Formats: sequence, structure tokens, C-alpha cells
Amino acid sequence: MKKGICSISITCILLFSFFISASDLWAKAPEAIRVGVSVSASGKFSTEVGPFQRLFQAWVDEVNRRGGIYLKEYDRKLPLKLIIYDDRSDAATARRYYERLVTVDGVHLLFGPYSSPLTFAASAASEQHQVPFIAICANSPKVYDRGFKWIVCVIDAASRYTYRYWEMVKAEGKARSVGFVVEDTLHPVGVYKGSRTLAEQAGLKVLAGDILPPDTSDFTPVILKLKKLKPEIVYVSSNIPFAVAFMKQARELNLSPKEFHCIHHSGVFRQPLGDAADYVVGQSYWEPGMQYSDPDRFLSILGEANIDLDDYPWSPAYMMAFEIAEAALNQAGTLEPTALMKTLKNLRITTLGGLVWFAENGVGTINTYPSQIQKGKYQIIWPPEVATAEHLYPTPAWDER
Amino acid sequence: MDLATFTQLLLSGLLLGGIYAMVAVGLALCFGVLGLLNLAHGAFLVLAGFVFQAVQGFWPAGTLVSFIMVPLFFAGLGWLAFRCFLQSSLRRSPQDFLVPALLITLGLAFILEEGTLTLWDRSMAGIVSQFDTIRWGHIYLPGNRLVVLILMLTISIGLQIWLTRTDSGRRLRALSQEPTGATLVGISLTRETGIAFAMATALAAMAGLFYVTLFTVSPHLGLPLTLKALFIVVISGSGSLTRPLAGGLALGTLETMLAAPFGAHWANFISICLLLVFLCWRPQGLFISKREAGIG
Repeated sequence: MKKGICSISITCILLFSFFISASDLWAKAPEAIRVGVSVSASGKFSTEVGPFQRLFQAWVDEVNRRGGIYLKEYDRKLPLKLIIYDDRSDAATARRYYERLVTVDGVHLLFGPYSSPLTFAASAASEQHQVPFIAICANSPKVYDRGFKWIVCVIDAASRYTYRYWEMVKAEGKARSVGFVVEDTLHPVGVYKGSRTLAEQAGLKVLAGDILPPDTSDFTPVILKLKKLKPEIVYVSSNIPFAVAFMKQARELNLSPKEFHCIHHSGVFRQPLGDAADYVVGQSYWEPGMQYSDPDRFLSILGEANIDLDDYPWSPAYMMAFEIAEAALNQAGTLEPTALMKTLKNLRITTLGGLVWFAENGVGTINTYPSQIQKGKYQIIWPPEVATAEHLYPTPAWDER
Repeated sequence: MDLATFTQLLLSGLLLGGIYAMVAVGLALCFGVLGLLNLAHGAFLVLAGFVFQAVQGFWPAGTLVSFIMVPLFFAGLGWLAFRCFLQSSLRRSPQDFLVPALLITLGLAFILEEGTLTLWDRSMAGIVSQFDTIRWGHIYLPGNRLVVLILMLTISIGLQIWLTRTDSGRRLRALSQEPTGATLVGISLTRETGIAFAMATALAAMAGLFYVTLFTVSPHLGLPLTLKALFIVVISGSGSLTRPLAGGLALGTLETMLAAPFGAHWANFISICLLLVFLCWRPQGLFISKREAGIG
């Protein structure tokens, strides 16, 4: 009898402790995976990423419709919860909000704000509080030269922004000289410095390298100089407004090199130029027709967010960040920051823009592809395995079009 | 530098000056004649650029009609903005109107800026050039810029004639010179100022239509454009509406001619320094005599 009571008691204790530990396990699982970000919904960058709050929300909604992301530690799918602020395109505000995201909102994962200066400021908060941080459109070396351990960036360094273009120029062996026209702002100058070296390595003679103020209204002096020097490629490293003004004046003053390369040549570039934009080569993160990852999913999220790819050609980089976050969470199977960060750093996945992995300093491998506007449509022209059309070279003179 | 290069640079500088003058003339009407510094000038210009692009999207053949209708629409918008935001402040303290007007128009600039961004939800507007380039041997004259310069000459002369030869213009000058006296003889301060503000807004819109075909506009470009226009108005001197044209031409020519030997960064710096030195010598503005300004 005594023995019976004893075994019943032990069974009860064992059952009780099992339920306690099981309920403890359930209690540990958060209601949602909290992801935080600041978007420049106002201020100077709002023209570039203003509606991206909708893009983040559309992604979160899409993931949640599928039940969330599976985490092995809790053996179930957890939905995403988005916490988002407007950093007003200001570095100090961004830093403040990232501090808040980490300390008050208790996010598990952070996405970076737009641009290198804002990312530089915001990533200090994630580093201090040891929260994984995925930078997106921020490729200035200054951000990654600080030895931070808690940051990875989707895209490659600015100096390598157009390396595939120079690879193509070298492989084709048609062009022999280049003249650079550069807008004096952080990203275009960074791209120019890298491109100049890459052009020389590709065997091209650099005939000009003019760095002009961002508000340049009259390009006559530099166009007349280029007409005299006759570089075969005129390479415009700038943001879109600068490139549009340059291209309009190049046409007006009949500057006809064998190729114009404008690093940013998205739909907003094409619209004010009309047929003058034809044959211009530039860089694209992604164009319809490229078949990495799941393009239909991206287009559906973009559609839900009511964002036009032509107006926001950097939006594919955001989709790649989402894919990276999903894969890292899934593979880590936990929200524990150290494990999550370790998984991020060791991640190797194919995203919308191709294969991505991260260097020791956090810089990613996603880079742009050379694309050419052909009869009003963007075509990827290199590398051959991704190309959607052949490279048209040389560009006909203005009066022969 | 050979003759063809020199001529091309000179012409390009003059044409750039025409654009500068186009941007500045509306502000000159407000600030130079009325003493009302309209910080929303650039924001109206930008908004007009976006409106023009939208009209072009709906009705590509309606370019010419747009060039008339859009400025008229903005004249109405300017009138409305004046009635809603500025009129009561002007009535209360016509003598010390500059500071309240500055604050009100700054607020208006922000409203227009954010409004443009919200309405269009896109980063920039730009239109394909409307006119071809004229070529003389090695010299190129871009059609759009030439039209701007010719239009600016016409507008400047027309406005000057209106200001000096018409009753409405005389009433406005009387108000700017002696508001109390002018009001005592029956000139309506708010009505005349409202008309001038509406005209200035229409001129800003006109500038926006050309600006969007020559460059691109983005919602945050308004304030920098206002500052550029203000700089031209200040160096030109106030009181006349032909002076911004001269000021714009001077600035445009200096910038382009100096950019060839010194580079664009130095050209901007040197041209601004040169103009500041001129201002020290002639604080009344470059194109106004000391007698006219009542100095010395």
C-alpha cells in the first residue's frame, strides 16, 4: 500500500514538473518576432524611400498570412510584428529611434535606415545593445570600417558598385577610353573612385575625371572638354537629377561618345529624357526577367505596397533584406541575439539579386548588374548567364537615331 | 580657348542666366516691389512642375494649353493663399509685415512641400524637352533655353511697363513707397497686394513649367530655389522688374565662363565672391544708381 502511494506521488510529481516545464517553455516563446526599422517618411530622403513603410508592412502582412516564420526553439511559427518610425532623414533622430527600438520596444532584429550617414548613426545603437542589424542601402566603407560585430549589409561596397560593367567592357574589348563626370556627393564619389581603378584595370585610358557640385545647372564647360578629348565611354557617376540634366545638355550640345553610362538610370531617369535615354547603360539590382529566388513574390509584395519598381529601383535590395532576415531566423531557429547574429554572418543564400554572403566586416555580396535601355525597356546585358539582351555598342550619334 | 569655345560658353552662360531670371522674377515682384519675402516661391515652382507633368500624362497634346492654364490656376492658388494666410496679418500691421510674412510663407512652403510629396508619392518630376537645338557651325543654341530667355525678356519688359505705365502698377508702387498715404487716397492695400502675390505665384508656376523641362524637380527643391532667386534679387537691386534679368544673366555668364578655366566648384565660389565684392561697392544692388536708391 505504502509502495503504491509512493509511486503515485512520484508519478504526480513527475507529471507536475513536466507540465511546469512545458508551460515554462510556452511562456518563453514571445507572441511575435519584433522587427524594427526607421524609414525616412519625411525630410530629404523621403523622395527616395518615403512610401517604404508600406513595403515593410506589405512584407510583414504577407509573411503573417502564411502563419509567420518557423522557429525550432519554440517548435512553431511566430508572426512578425513591425515597429516603424519616421527618422525625418536625420542621423540624430535615426540614432534616437534605434535606441528606442532596442531598449523600449525590445526588437529582436533591426533593418537599417536609408543611406550611409543614417546607417552610420543608427548602427551604433544596435552595436551597443547587441541586436542583429541588417543594413540595406548603405555601402559607404565608413560604416563597416569600425569593427562592428552586430551589423551585416545586403549590398557590396560602393567601390565595387559597377565591377560587372568593367568586367563586361574588358571581356568585349571594344572600348579603349573613358571620361568620368561625377556628382560631388558621398555615394557617387565612392562609386567613381572604385570605377576609375576598375576601368584602369580593364585596360581603359581615363581621359577625364570631373567632380562637379550636385546643383550644377550648366554642363557646357565639361561637355566641351569631353568633345575635345573624345572618350569612347562617358561615365556619369551621380544621382538621377544630375544625370538627367547632363544627358539633356549632352544631346543639346551634340556630345556623342560610343556609350553613355549613368550609374542610376531608373524609370524616373527615362521619363524626362524620352528617347534620349535609349542606349544608356546603367546599373540595376534586379529587372523582370531575372530568375533568382522568387520574382513573383517580390512583384506581389511591391504591388500590395503600391510601389512602382521604375520609381524606386532600389526596392529589390529591400526584398533581398527580407529574404535574408527570413532565412536567418529560420536557420537560427531562435531569437537569442548571439545565435541569430552568428547565423546571419554565416548565411549563404540565393536572394532575388543572386547569391549573398557576408565578409568579416559585414559587407554583403549583392551587387548591381549592367543594364541598358533598349527601346524604352531595361535589359540586363552582363553576365551572360543572367543577361536578358545583348549589349548594343556603339550608341548611334544623336542625329542618326 | 578658341573663339568657338568662348562663344559657346558665353551663349550658354546667357541662356543659363535666362533660367535664373525666370526663377527670380516672381520673387522680385513680391520682395523687390512689395517688400514681401515669399519663402514659398520655390515650393509653388516645384508644385507647378508636378502639376505640369500630371497634365502631360493625361493629355500629351496639351502642352501649349498647359503653358497658359497652369500659371492661371496658380494665380488663383496664390490669391487664395494670400487671402487665407497673409491678408489678416497684413491688415493688422502693414508697416511690420516682413517678419510675419516670412514666417507664414515659410510655413506655407512646408505645407506645399509635404503636400506635393503626399499627393504625388514620387521622388521627382521631369518632362521631355519641347524644342530642338539650333546649330550654327560649331555653336549650339538649345531651343528650350532660348525660349526661356526670349520669354524672360518679354515678361520683364511687360512687367516693367505694367508697373510704370498702368494704373494698377502705379497703385502697387504707391503702396510699396508709402503704404499709409496710398491707403488714405483710397488704394486697397490687401487687394493690390493680393493681385501682386497672385501674379508672382503665376510667374513662379511659369518658371516651374520651364524648369521641369530643362532639369527635374523634387518636392524638397523649393527652398534651395527660393534662396537662389533671393540671391539674384538682392544682387540685382529692388524696385524694377528688368533687373532680375540683368542679375540672372550676370550670374549665369559668370558661373559658366569661370567654370571652364577654374572648374565648377571654384566657379560658383568665385562668382559669388565677385558679386559680394560688387555689393560692398554698390550696396543698393548691381543695376541701380545711388541717386535712384537715395544713397549719398
